[in-house]
Amino acid sequence: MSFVQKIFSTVRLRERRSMLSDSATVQNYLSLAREHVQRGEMSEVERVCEEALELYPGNPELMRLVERSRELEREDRTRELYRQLREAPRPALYRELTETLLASGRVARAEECANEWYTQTGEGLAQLFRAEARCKRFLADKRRDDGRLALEFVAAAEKLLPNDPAPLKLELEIYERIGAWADAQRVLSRLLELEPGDPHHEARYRAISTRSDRAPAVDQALRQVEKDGKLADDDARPESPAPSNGSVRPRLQWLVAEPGVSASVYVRGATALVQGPKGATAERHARAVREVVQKSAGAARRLGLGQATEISLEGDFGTLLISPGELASAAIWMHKAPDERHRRALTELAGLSAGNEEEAS
Amino acid sequence: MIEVLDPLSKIPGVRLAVLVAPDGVPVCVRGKHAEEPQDGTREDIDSLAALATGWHCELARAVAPLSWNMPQRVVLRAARGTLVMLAVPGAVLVAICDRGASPDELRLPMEAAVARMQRILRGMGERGASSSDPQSLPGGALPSRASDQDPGLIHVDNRSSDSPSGSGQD
Repeated sequence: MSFVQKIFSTVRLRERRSMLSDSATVQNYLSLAREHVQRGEMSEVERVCEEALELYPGNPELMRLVERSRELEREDRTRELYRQLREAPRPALYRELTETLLASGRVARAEECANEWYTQTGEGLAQLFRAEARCKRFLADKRRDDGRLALEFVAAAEKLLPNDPAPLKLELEIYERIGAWADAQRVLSRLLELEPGDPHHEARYRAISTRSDRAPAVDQALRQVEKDGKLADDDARPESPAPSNGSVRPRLQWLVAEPGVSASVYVRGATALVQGPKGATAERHARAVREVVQKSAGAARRLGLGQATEISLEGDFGTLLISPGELASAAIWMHKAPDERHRRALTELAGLSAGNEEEAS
Repeated sequence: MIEVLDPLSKIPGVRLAVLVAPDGVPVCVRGKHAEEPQDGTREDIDSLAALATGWHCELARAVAPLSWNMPQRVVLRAARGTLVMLAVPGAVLVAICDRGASPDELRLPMEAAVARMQRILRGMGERGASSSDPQSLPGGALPSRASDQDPGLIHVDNRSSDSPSGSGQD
């Protein structure tokens, strides 16, 4: 920013502040925050947004702006840390960089950094961060190999940090998420040895001991997670209400009325709505779509591609285009190439129940 | 077969191109413009080929009750990349692309690769058929067991070489 621009910006900033003192509206807060963005004062942006969020909690624009400013701050810090590491690497810098990368969801980069740190120093903390990064990747992709590797890293970290509860806590988290309750109980008992009398651990121990009788082994549990694409505690989360018949059917009817479209299908759990084919043929279509989604989601995880977002089959039968959502899937069978409108309609239909789907990092 | 896959590997965004033969042997070419995975891990080609072809068979089984034939082209878009699979008689061509790459841009190059592969196989088949004809074999430097077992040919040769000299002496 040049000297003249800075003078103008200071004048504008004063104006925005006086406007805000006259009326504390969301718009005035946003305009003040944006002026700070232009001046590159990210900490000020965050402060203004936090003040505004106290008055207008949950405002989406303010939340987006504060999140974006935090992200920019993290990016600046990451750049600075990379520069310092190139000049003179030391464990504290590696640690901060790994933490920053994990906080911004850049899991692969974080693991890369932790690997470099571990190679250079062989520290237990570096191994723990490797485990944490791999664990995050496993929880996002639900890939068995990732889970197994995360557990291997945790075991190595436990050996390097024998009296530290942090590796045990991470191991416990993995076991709990995959539903390996017997192993979770074993880890909790070790945690209680390190931190005796902790009421939180004791309560967890009591809760887990009721489930550990018929708990699967770790490998079995990991295999199940990869197959279903669900973690053990996913069932406990309240599902969004199923969309009503009235909201799905018109969209399916619109799709099937498009030229070249022979069938449109919506599948959610055991329920299916089919437009186009009738009776047993409709049932067969729904079953085929469900099976294709199930097999493809598993294949995508095993192939290391993460969560499947679109499946398309082409052959002498035409094209079957499927949009798999978190809870529901939508598909069309057509005799010409699908275009962007079809894709968008399917994504909307599949996302009706799941809300905004988050993309795996 | 590497030269069949080589043009695919030059397309930006293609991470890996694998041709899986009917006997399950994969031939793989890595993308020249592909980014190295950030975590340093590289795909295990054998398991990738097995998983991809296994998944293709599962898809064929899933759509079989609809009286549909095996899908010829399958695209699987996912969070970390896209898999494009083209099934041809006797082989499966698999390409794995980066997240931003469009699978439609691979349609023509993959079909061209398949056409090239079939042309090579056809050429090999024709050469194989012509090489099975015994008359087209070049003659060996030394008499072989096979030529010894052909009495008519030896007999004719001996006679033709002896008779002119005999007649000359007479």
